[in-house]
Amino acid sequence: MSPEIPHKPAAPETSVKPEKAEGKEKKARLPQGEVQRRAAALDARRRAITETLKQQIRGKKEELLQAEPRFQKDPDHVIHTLLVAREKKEELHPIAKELLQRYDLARELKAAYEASSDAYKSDTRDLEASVVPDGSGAVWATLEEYRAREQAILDRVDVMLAKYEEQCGITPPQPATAPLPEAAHSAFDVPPSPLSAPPEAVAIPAASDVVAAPVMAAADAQPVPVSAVPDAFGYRVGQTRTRFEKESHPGAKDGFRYIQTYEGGGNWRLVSTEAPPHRVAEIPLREKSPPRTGPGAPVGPDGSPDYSTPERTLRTIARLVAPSMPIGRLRGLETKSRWTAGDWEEIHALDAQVRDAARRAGVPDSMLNQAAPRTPHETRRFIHLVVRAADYPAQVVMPEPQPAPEQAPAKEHFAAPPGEGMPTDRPSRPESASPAAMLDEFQQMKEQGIAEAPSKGIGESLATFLEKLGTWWNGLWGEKNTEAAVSPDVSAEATPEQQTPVLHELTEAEKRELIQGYSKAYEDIDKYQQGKINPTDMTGLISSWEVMSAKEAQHLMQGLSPEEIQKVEESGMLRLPLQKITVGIVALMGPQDYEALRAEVGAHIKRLGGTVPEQEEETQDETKEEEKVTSATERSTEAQKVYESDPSGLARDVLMMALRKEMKVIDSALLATKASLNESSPLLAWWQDRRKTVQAILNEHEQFAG
Amino acid sequence: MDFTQFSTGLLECLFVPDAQRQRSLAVAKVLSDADRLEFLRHLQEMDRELRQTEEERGDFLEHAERVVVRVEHAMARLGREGEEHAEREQEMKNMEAQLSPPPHVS
Repeated sequence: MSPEIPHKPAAPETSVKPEKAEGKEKKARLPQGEVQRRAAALDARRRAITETLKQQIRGKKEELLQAEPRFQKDPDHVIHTLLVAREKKEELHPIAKELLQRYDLARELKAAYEASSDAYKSDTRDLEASVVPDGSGAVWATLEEYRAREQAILDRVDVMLAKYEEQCGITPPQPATAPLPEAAHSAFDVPPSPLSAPPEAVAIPAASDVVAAPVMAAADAQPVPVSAVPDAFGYRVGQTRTRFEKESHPGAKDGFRYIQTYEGGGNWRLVSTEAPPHRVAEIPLREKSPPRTGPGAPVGPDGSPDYSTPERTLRTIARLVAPSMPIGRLRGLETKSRWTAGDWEEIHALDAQVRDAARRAGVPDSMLNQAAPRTPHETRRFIHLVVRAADYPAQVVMPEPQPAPEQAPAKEHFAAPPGEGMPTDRPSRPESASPAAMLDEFQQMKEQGIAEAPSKGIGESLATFLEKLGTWWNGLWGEKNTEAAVSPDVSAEATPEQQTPVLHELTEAEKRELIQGYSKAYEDIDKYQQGKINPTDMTGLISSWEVMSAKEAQHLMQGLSPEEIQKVEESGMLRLPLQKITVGIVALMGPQDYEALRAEVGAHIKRLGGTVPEQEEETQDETKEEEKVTSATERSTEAQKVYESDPSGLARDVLMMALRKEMKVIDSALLATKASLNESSPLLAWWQDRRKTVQAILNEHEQFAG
Repeated sequence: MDFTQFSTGLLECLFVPDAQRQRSLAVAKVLSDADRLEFLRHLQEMDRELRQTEEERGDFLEHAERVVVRVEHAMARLGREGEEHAEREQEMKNMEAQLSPPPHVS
């Protein structure tokens, strides 16, 4: 049975051919929202450059006309004449050279964006008229093409699935019946271009409000007429937006499509546009957030506003006022490289709004005055903080205490730019194993008769063995380099290149928060095991662990600049194994491996100084683990079982590869951790312990293997 | 590690949205081994296209960013050169002014 599969259509032409490095590392998937942020910022910079170049070209042309009267005969074709002269290598006037330098830059800029828009493909023979592109949203336009390509692929998947379902007699899930208020978008992170409308019309709501919205089935979604006038929150009733980031909404599942509609009063409703109702019903609902006004508004890790340092005060205020601010307008200001007089007027008007919102939220006047920006730079920074607080409400982390700025009288306006200590996007979900690699591996196993029967031969032994070695099985996943490379001497000092920025030590409050989160995950495992949660759906569990891991990483990276954060992420030291191990175990061996999952989460709780709910049993498990580490005989026996049923050596190779890769990852993380945390750091101890365990197992298997 | 578990694991790794993943799982469960493998191959092929598109989009963004940075740097350089040029011209004028005899000396 093999239905006819829709073939790959010709890809839409994009004239931009990005510089593609040979053999480059596969890049991590961009976090949701990152693409549009970068594209919008890029377009803003490009427009600013374009405008400047235009002015300079016009200025130089005027200068040239004054300096070289012969050009006045045909002033509309000055550049063309100059280009011809340059082609013939004729001597050019210095001003003409300067003019052409800028013209070349403008052409380079234009060529870089000649991707999609027909406007850019127009006849450019009239050089004077098309010196530089004046369109906006060129990057967006190209991204839209990519989005269309993705949607076309997804449509093909749909067609294929429908054919298979028909042949298998499977009833496909009912499609969403409610018409979408906006065009449906792919699950990938290219939203509608904000540049297709004036910035003011793109009021992206504060996500902090959205978390209080109930998750509704698609059938409940009804288009609401959009009100003409924004309400006190700055949004129009009925306006919609898409948001796919599960990190911004705990109930939003990765890959589902969602539309948010504004219901007024600061409330947003999240609507799944494609999930069958029963799936949506499984999505956990978040408790309605406490009111964001008054002195008890949740801001700090312990749930109260944090005014302990000027920096925290600034962030606290940003977060408190974000739900009441017109984020679209702020975003527009943020992306502008230079503010006009009109922009400043708007900022002054917003200042009053900020003060009003802050007072309503219970911010004391003294704190308000202390946080009031005193320079345009500080103003920009505050705006940035507010926008980020709206985008990533759960990720506004409190930074390290910083020196207080000089006290000065409060000014009229507020604000802020990217810089030190900025909250960053949470680390993206780690890339799972490559399906291609997995399929190839499985194909090999199948060809060798290994995987034919579920409970027979090496398949069973391997699964059993992997269960025992579950804590490092994830080494097989994701990493690109498969070469065996046992670690360097980690006792050596990190080289300057290896040194990573110094991380923030977790505070007691942060530890408590993390322990609480991990404990929740720990309890969830029991629920899964007892069948209280659908065992085939581990996504929610994995998701909650990921959130905790990401939160811990963010705590540790407080106060670092974006460059430093990138360095830390590249070092792998915060590759908290929950992120991968759970995906690995669940995907590969099914949801029955509760023991391994529980041990993993329990280890994290203990690392942070917490107590696992089942301390007694955990202690026993720990003893068992220690016995396993020290008992070479026992493990050799296990290994022997694997090898005896592994005449081809495939299982051994797979295991050795996993072990060596994991050692490499651990060593890299250890070096980075040593450079970034003090010796007493629990994270460092955890990595060292992990290394010891894996090294012991590796030694034994190497010895056993020969 | 049987085939069903394996294909489940494989499907979990796909880029396609959850809804399609779930439908794929339902299909994979009822197919024979051979058909399932073929089905997964098709799915994997489309998934690879999705990943590739994502990568290309990322490349495009990077490319666009590089160009902007390059042009910005070039503009800054031109600006500096222009200032230096103006300074030199001013110096020349100053020197000429110093070398010229005062108006009353003639």
